[in-house]
Amino acid sequence: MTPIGLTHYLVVAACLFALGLFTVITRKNAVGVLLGVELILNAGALNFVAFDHFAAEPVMSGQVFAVFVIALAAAEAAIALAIVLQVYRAHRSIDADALTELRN
Amino acid sequence: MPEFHGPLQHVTYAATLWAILAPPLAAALFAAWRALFRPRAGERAVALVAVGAMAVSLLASAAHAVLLAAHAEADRFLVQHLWPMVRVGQLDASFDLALDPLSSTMTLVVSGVGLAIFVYAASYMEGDPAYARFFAWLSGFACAMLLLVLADNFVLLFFGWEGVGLCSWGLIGFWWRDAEKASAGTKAFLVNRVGDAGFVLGVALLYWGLGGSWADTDYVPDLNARFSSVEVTAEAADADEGPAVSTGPGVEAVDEDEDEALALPSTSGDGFVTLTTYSGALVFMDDARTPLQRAPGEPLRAPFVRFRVRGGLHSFRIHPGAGLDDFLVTHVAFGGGREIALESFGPSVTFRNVRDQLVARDAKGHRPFLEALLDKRGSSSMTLVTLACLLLFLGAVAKSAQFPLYVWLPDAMAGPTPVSALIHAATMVTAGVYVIARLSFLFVLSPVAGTVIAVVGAGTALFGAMAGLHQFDVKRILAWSTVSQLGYMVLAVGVGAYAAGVFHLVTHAFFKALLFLAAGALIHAMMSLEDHETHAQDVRKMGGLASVLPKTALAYRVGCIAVTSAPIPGLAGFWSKDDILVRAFTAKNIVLPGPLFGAVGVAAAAITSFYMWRSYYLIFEGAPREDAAKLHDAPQGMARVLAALSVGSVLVGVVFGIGPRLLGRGGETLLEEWLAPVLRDARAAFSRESLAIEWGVILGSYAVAVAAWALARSRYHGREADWVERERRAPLFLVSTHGFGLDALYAATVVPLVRSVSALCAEVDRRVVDGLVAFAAVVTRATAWVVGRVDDDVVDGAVRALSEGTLHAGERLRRAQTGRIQSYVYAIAAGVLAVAFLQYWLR
Repeated sequence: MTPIGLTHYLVVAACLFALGLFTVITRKNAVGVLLGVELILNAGALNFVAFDHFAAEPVMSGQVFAVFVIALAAAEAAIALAIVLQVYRAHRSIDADALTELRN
Repeated sequence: MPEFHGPLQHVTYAATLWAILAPPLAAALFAAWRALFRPRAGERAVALVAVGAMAVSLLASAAHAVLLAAHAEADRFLVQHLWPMVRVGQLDASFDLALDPLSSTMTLVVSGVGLAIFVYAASYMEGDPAYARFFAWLSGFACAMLLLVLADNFVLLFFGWEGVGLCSWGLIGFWWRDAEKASAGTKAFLVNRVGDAGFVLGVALLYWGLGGSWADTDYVPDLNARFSSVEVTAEAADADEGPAVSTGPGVEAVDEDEDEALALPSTSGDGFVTLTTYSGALVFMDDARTPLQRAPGEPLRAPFVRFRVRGGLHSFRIHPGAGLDDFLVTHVAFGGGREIALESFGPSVTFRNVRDQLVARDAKGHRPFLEALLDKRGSSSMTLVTLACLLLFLGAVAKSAQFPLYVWLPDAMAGPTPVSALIHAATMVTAGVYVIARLSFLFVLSPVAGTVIAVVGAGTALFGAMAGLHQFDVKRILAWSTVSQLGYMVLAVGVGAYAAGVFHLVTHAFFKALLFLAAGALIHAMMSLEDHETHAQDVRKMGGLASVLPKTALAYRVGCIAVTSAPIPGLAGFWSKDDILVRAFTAKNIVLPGPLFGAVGVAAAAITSFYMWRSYYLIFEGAPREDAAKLHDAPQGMARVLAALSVGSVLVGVVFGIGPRLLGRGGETLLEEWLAPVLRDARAAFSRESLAIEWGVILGSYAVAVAAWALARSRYHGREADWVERERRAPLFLVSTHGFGLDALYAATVVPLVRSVSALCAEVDRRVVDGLVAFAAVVTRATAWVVGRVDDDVVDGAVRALSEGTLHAGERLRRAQTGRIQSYVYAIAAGVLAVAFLQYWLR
């Protein structure tokens, strides 16, 4: 059995990214879309941590970036949920397909 | 060392010469303004201004004559530079006025006799609806004539020359509603064009001739060498040689002066510098940054004479300004009180500059420009100077109404009588004689041209007199008399007696003005009896008028005596005509024997005496017509003028004409003395004048004149009733009465020729020129059509295609803008994937 290396982490992160993207594209509910975004962010954070771990000379910056990403995700969720709330107030709906005001 | 030496013309600057010229100009403008914009305003102001202007002009002329006389004889030349006019290449034709004894005489005659005629006209033209227009033309006429005589160069003279022609057109055709009179004005104008063409050609030939482009002189190879230094010497050194051709210029022995001239001149003491050309030019000496100054802050401007400089070698830069390049004269030695002139050589239109070039001698004593002018022959064997003189003379032939171009003058009688007086007496017709006298230094060089001129003059004197023999129109009699008297003047200048010609010009101005104005008074009176002026001027309708028009009769009689010198000798014409006849008899500077011309002149004098007295007796003596008692003599204004001119006609000859010569003292007449500085280079040769010839000519011509007078008196004083019929049967009646058929000749030859040429020109204009224009139009339209299509389809098409393509693309692309964020994300993801795959493949 091969030891767990960088590739494994990257594959997991890629899968996570793909699932997140799929969620963002396919979900009708705006909140679901936000969930997908969280997945994508986490895939990125995993990559940072993995690269830092396997670097020849660990400098901890990857970990720091992961912390940044988590903080960023929290802030993003707060703002995005606020927007969703406003959208709901205006449209009485949070269906992503129905929000086509920017069409044409 | 100066390159040339010679007696150059000294000039004095006079800032007031314009005062002679300006008053008539102002009066003309004022009258023109009145005529154009205030036609109903009174006549008084116009007449006052016009007459006053002439009076001011006369005063100015007199003042300048006095000023002129105050100078030493050789310095009698006033110049005023008004403004640069034509300055191009080497040509400098500035608006410069010049006054020397000759032009001073002319200004006095023009403004003096002119003033008399203006005063007369003010009362003669009373009641004419176009009073202001008349005085506009008349004042303009006087102004143009004054400009002509005051001009310093050919160009300005030509302005006056043409101005006189133009104003004569306006005055002769003054009553233009009568088509015949209007065409008389046009005829005068057109005939003068013929002469003008010759005149312009003559000027151009002279200008070209002085250019040295053909001459064997290396003095004027290029512009920079144009100025040379000339030592101004008294003329005494070579006074007796003169340029008379009999001695042959260029063959004069170079005497001991040569050594003196070649020796280095001393540079001790001061010297003087002179510059008389390029009016208004500044002079910089020895690389100085500021020009020479008359006083601090007052730059010295050309023309100036005898400006003091310290002795030694100097160089000069002449700065004419007005766009011309500077000229350099280097290494001029001053000192010893010598006067060095910076003289321009080469083409020139300034009279005195041309003259100065002809008198300048080089170090060897030769006169290169004069010799070149004399030696150069054209394709015909004529020398250049002869050709130039003959062309210039053609101008004089037309202006001074000489054979064969005198045809305009009798027709010019169509104008109002004061106009006839002005044109015939003081202005216009004298212009030709004046120009020849002005250029006497040139004309004297060509005996051939002189002979042609003398032949034309003598012929005109004779033919004019013969044409006057059987005229019935009083103004036509006087017109032919003018032609004949002008012939005398031209004869005089032809044989080289320039002073005599000018003398006759002066006396003629007085007595012809007198005769015309007397005739005017006569016509004025006759108009009250006749309905048409043709009848009022017809001597057949007159007779015995001396009793009812005593003043007019007296004036006319004085005029007749003055012109014929019979039966009383000693009035104006006596002196001047005899002067001419004596000169003609003794002339040597011509290629034909002089007595021939003298004999013709005497014959013409006899005929003159006959026809003048014929007219007098026909008008004033004999049985008066029944209604003659109704006539009124000349009004006060006219009568005074007649009196003044009568006095002038009596005195002018005596004052100027009595020569110490006649008394055997060998001197000159007063007028000759006065004109001597102008004519000093024009000493034509005359055979030794013995008193016997002079007295013989005088007594002989007097005798024939008296005989002719007696004949006229016997035939017309107590004439028979059928005198008209008898005249009609006289030999030559038809030919001579109609000016020897020249009019008919021209009508048969020149006029149809000119007409057919003009018809041809019209045809060419219509066919060729218009055709070309039409062709150009078609080509242009075709090109425009093609260009239009290209513009519409290609240029606009491209722009349209671009805009429409953009529109369509936009139309299509907006469909992709769904507004669904998720589909955008889908597209982004797909794009990223595509890029990733692409990169993978391409690697």
